[in-house]
Amino acid sequence: MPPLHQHLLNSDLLRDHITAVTYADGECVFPIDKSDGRANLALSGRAEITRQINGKSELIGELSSGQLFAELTATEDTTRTTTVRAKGELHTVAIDPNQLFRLTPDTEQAADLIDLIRAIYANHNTGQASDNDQWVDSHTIIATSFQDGDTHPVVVQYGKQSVTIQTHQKHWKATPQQLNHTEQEHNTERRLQVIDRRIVSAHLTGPCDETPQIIGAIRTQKPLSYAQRVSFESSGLLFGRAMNSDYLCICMRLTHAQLKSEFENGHDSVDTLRQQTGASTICGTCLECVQDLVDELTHEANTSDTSDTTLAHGQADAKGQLAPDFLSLGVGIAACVITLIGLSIPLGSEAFHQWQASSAGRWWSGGAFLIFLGYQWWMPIYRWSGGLAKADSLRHIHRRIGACMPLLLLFHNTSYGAGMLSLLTVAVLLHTIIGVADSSLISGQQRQQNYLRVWLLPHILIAFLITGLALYHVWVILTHGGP
Amino acid sequence: MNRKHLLRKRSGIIIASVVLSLWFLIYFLMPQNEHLLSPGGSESCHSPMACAECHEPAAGTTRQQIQANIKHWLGQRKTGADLVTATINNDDCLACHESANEVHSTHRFMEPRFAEARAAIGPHECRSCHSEHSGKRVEVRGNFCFHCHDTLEIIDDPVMPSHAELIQQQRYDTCLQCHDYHRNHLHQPPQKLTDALRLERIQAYLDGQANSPYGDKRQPYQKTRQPTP
Repeated sequence: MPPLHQHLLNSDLLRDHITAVTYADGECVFPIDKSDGRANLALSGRAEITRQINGKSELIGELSSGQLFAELTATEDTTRTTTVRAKGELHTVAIDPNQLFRLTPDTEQAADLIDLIRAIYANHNTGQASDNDQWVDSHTIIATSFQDGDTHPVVVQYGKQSVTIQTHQKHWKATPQQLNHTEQEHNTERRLQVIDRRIVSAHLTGPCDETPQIIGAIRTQKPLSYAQRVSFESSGLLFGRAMNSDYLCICMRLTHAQLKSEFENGHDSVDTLRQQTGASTICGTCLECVQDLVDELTHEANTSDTSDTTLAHGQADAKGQLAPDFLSLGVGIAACVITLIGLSIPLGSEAFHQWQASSAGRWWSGGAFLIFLGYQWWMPIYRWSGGLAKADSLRHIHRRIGACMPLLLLFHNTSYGAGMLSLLTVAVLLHTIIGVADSSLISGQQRQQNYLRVWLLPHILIAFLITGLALYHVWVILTHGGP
Repeated sequence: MNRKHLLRKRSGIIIASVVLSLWFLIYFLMPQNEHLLSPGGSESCHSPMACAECHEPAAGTTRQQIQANIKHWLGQRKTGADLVTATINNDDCLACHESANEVHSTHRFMEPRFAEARAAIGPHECRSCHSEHSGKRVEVRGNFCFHCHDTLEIIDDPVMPSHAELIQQQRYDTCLQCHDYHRNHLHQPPQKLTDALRLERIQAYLDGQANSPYGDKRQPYQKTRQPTP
């Protein structure tokens, strides 16, 4: 039996609130969007955690014996974002979180329990932290613990006005030395307990920028210098000036840039962002900031979808719809028709065809086509490298000269070609038609975006194909006697 | 939206595009598909042949060839070098197509009196007319016989109208109506121009769109290519 289970069974708080459940292979422990309000502890066996991403079920983790799951959903009364299914026979116990977390700040056993649960949680999700908001005696208490690797386990409990931080030790070896700093005008009070120059406990009332650093000092048991102790008693600061202003979550030392990066990596909701980074899981004061950041980035992402459409096709009007570019459409279709005719029936003078068939003609006309291809790649390259403004300025010319691409082919080719080159000819004509038949021809912003998503695949795909075939054709020609 | 986000959104499309393009390139690289690399198809007699039967490896390694070409571009070397495969020359063609009945042998045009003709149409090189991979038998168009035959004199000329008259009237388009240029077919020139082949039939043959109007070949070519001297 796992130690935690034993511990829970031995706890007077939990004995009457545990239900043992056995699941067969493949059976759903709990589905997404459903919550029975209970946390689960795996006693033996394994389970798979899956999440719906873009309509597809993706495996995001696996549970094994001794691991606690669904406790956040249970304690925060939110809907579940994942589905858990048994992988083989799975034995669990379901725990009522109202009983599990009925804690008081002074209950050593409760702190012990939180510490243990958090340790398991931390092991399951390396690098993550989480919190639980609990009502205890009509006051909100946030209890969090840290334990990773060899660092010292720390229990942090945040009340409305105060923060209590202490190492998880029932009995200290010696009597702690007290370090105090009080500022009446700011209504702040900071008390540290130090043993052998190491902080073992802290009680902070009122705002304190150094909270995460104090937590870090307790976790790592780094000795304080004499100067730090003097500084603390005189100014209340142990580590000098406050944090970098770019920090969004001071407790977890997370910057805006880090959170933005995680958002862009797919953790695009407040819940997933908190679970992934631990942001706003300590004191909770930055929760609104995290929410604002997520809102801002979500809005930016949605706007950029429109921007994608805009970049690809043209400026949106006031309603976000794109104006159709009939000129490119007309030029593109005309160029394709002229090319189809020109490759069937010789157009132009005899002298032009003789020049076209000459080595110089092939060099120049082929070189012009390659330069054109290279230029057309500038816009996507700018976009992928983040230069959206430059890409935007290239957009019109990308489309307009793109519509003329078949004429460059006609300039170089004397026929449809055979084999690989006939494929290249077809690809160029098809690419031109697809390029000018863009989403601006569709009415409605949402329909334009839906069309764009479908349109982009063949557009990019054929662009790669044309470039690859053209370069390979050049290589074949150069290695077989030249043009 | 920054680059990372954009790339993530488009990564599936980009990967699919690159994979498909690579698949096509690999497909064309397969030895059994090498005929698909020909820009305009091959003449019927060449279509069953492997590329390497004509395109022999060039001298030196690829690195040496590239070095030589770079030096040539920089003016440190008089000529460039063939890259990967050697340039096709008369020997490559004559290894199969040499004929005892040839009336326009390439080596004959090396005589000094044909200097102007060499400069104008290059009759001393097979490639001047037969560029191959164009889908056509003969690339050169128009009248070219006058470069050498503008002073032709025939005693007791049996044909009607006479060669002298045709030359005087500059009707050089009629030459091929009676004469098979390489004389490698069993065709016998008629004595009257009215019995000659129609120009359209000849042009269709030269363009690779019709069989020879000059009849069967005079002698079969050798089945396999002879080593290049």
